Amino acid sequence: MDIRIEGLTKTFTGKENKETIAVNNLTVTIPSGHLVGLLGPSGCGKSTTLFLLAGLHEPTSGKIFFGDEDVTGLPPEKRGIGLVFQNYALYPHMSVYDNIAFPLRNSRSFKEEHKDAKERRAAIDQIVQHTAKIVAIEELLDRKPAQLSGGQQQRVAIARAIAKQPKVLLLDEPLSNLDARLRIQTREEIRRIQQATGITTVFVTHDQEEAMSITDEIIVMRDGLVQQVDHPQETYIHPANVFVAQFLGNPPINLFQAEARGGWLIVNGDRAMATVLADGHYQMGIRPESFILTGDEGDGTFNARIEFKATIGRDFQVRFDINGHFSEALIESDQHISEGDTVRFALRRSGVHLFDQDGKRIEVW
Amino acid sequence: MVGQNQKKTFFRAMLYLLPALVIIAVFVVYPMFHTLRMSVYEDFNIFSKEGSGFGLSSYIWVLQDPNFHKALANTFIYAIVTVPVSIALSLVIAILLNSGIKGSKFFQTAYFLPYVTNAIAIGLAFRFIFHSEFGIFNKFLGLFGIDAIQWLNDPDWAMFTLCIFGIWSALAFKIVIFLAGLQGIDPQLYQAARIDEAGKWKQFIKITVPQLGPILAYQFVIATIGAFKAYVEVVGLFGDDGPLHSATTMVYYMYDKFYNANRYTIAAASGVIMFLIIMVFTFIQMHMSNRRADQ
Repeated sequence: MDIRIEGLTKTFTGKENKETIAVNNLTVTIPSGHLVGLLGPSGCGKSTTLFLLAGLHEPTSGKIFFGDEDVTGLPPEKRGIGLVFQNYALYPHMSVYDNIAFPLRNSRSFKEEHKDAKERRAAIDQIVQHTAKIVAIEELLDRKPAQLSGGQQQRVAIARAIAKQPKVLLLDEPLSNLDARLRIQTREEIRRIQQATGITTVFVTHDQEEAMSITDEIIVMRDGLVQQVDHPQETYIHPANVFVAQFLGNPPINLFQAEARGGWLIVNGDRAMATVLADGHYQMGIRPESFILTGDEGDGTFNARIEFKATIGRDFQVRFDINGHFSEALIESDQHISEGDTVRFALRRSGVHLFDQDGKRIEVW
Repeated sequence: MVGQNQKKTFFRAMLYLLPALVIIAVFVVYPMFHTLRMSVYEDFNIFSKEGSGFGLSSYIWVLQDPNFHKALANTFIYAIVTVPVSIALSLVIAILLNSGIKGSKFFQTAYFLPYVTNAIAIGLAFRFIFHSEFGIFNKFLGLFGIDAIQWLNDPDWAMFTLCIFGIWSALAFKIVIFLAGLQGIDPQLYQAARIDEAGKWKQFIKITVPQLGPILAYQFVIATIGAFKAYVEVVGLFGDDGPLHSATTMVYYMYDKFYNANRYTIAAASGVIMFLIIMVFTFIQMHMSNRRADQ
């Protein structure tokens, strides 16, 4: 079931009738069976978008379609969705089993499919056991949520959401409460479960690595506006604007003002890169892994004085000044450099991005 | 921890606790033992503090007194009617107040006012409301063609009137406690329940009630104890124990025997019996709510 969002807008009215636009004219289509990440900094409207999809918020304007059905006016209980809350919202007084069975016991369509009460109970039991197996919590079924670890609770929340075989699965920062190791493990599990069930899934996160690693597509949002919709890798390789370039990548991209003069981009006074751009000032971004130490002195290289060096695993992290911007580069650690050295860098063209002064990507330069 | 230090902290703690301990000793512990002592005599001089006729004769007298039977029956009726009804009503009102209806802040204050108002004053106000000729209650019933009821003067109606009054005056405190409990429930549980296709009633039964479990148990215990101790409500409403003693309660009986009849040992014995009854009920309730919590 694909999800179509058309011109979706949500404004909140706060104190003194001040209006905040949480989601601004969002139009996007999420293909059936895909796992899509809604990515952005906190307050960008991604959770609001998810709650709009769930029906827990009412949109100010715009429409939402699940397949061909317009669900904009439908309450959450009629949308056939599964939702995993950020803090899981498990029912604390119910056992894990009852938590997972709860939506099935309420479901009207399920009641119609299984008219006989005894047969229905057996069907529910079978689904609960099966779902518990998918998320690997078979042994925990008679425990209470408080007796579970964060990761286990999270899997229970997923089980509850998928047990009723929803048309759409929505996940709101489901990994934010887990420790680093568990987070990686669980996000792969989410991917596995999503692929096993084939449910169209929307996944809200502020963690780019999370979004990059498991999604089919990423929707990058900022201040209620969509910045880019693309394959995860594309958002990194071809950021649509300065915001996306800065938001994705760790360590972040080095962004500074650079002048184009006579077919060259000027970095630290040197002619660092050939360009076809007209003379003028541009925003230039360089990924930290795109610096190459070189012995060359001519055009296509530039000078930098290393001010800081640290070893992180197999890389050196070095910091230096570029056009007045304190920048960072990752260099393979077999190079001999020390703080205070003046070195010569060349740049990998694929890791260099140019933007106009409005922040828009310049495709050809 | 060195021994001397322990001694020091003990004395310091005692110093802080002393005022409370003195008050409790004088007004709770001593009267309790004194009551127990009075109750095992046939006659007791409260000035010389000497009793005569050691034995259980006072208890036997109380247990054979038809007035005590009446008081006991009334107290049980009062508890059985007012406790569940006032809890159910206050829960409904608390849920309405918590649902963010217009003016909920005003109503919260309005519902709490009776709690901070003198019970005798409220009783007087209710005497007007229940007045057979001029009371608003009968005026209202008159609109439906129902004849005036002698709320306060008919012995057959007295307990009914008392129960209405008791339910009403018990609401305030319960509403406040329920409101606090409701506000402690994670609103996301309701969102999750909506996603899980639970309707309003199901949300109430499956989330609100279990989430309020400990508070409900607490309310039941406190309300039951309060109902067994009903006295102010009776005096406030009737000025005495109702027409032909029809609304007498255990505490009223005890008061009456002590101050009006000067039968000190009888009063003490009835007090001890009441203490035992309340204790047994409280134990049963605690046991039941504990068992439910374990499940």
